[in-house]
Amino acid sequence: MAFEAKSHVWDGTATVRLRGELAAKSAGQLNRVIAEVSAQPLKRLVLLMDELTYLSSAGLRSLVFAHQRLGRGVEIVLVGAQPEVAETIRLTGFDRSVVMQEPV
Amino acid sequence: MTPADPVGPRVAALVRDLAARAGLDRARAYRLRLASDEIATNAVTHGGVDTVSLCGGLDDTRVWVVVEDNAPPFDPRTYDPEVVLTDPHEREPGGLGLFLAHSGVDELHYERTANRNRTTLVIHRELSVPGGNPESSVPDGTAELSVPDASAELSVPGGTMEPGAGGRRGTGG
Repeated sequence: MAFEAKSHVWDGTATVRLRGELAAKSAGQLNRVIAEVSAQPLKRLVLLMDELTYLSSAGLRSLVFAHQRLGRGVEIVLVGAQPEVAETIRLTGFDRSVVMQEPV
Repeated sequence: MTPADPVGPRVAALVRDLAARAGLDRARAYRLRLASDEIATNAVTHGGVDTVSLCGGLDDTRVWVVVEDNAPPFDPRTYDPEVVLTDPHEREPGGLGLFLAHSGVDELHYERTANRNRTTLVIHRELSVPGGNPESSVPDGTAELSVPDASAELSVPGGTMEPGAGGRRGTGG
């Protein structure tokens, strides 16, 4: 149930590992992490999602928030989303604004 | 501090129970949970209610969750899909939850009754009907689950959220 977002930034790429459930309660936590990492110039935001087990609209809004905050010049890559989470992202069309990758 | 989120875990627990009884596959259980979570969370964050009642039930062909609240009348079927289809750079936040609720379930019913909003989210159970063999279409043991008052058994006792949450409204617009 708990949510974790661990981040690091290196050479213009911010990598955030999401773990647990991203919903109404935890969305603010991700917003803060996004705000932190985007305080410096970024070329890319990579979200590692293989351990994200649940994504509600509140969580999805955090991803949209990241997209809006970073602007079109910053590529957002979602890596390894579980099938149900990926379906939610695709249903809302957000997959057209980001790159969705299988885990490497 | 972050507002409490008691409704999400309650929805999760209820749907987990229903899914186990119904033998729902993971994808269907997930969609029922998500849709119910969206409707219940919407009532709390936008309806400003301090009480959301949840109950669920199942019969031979369907599994459902009923979300009730005493917010002002709000019919979730009236959402505007255009909100979601707009470029995320340009759209206002909001609307996503209702869109997901609609998209995830097989049926969504709404009625305003006794000054309460009552939204019912239904997932169809996967009944294997191989080659149209009717005898195998209903698994053994299903009958005992198809009691009309199954919903009563599955009501969440802690259906009332703490009064302290009353009147809080979300900032999502």
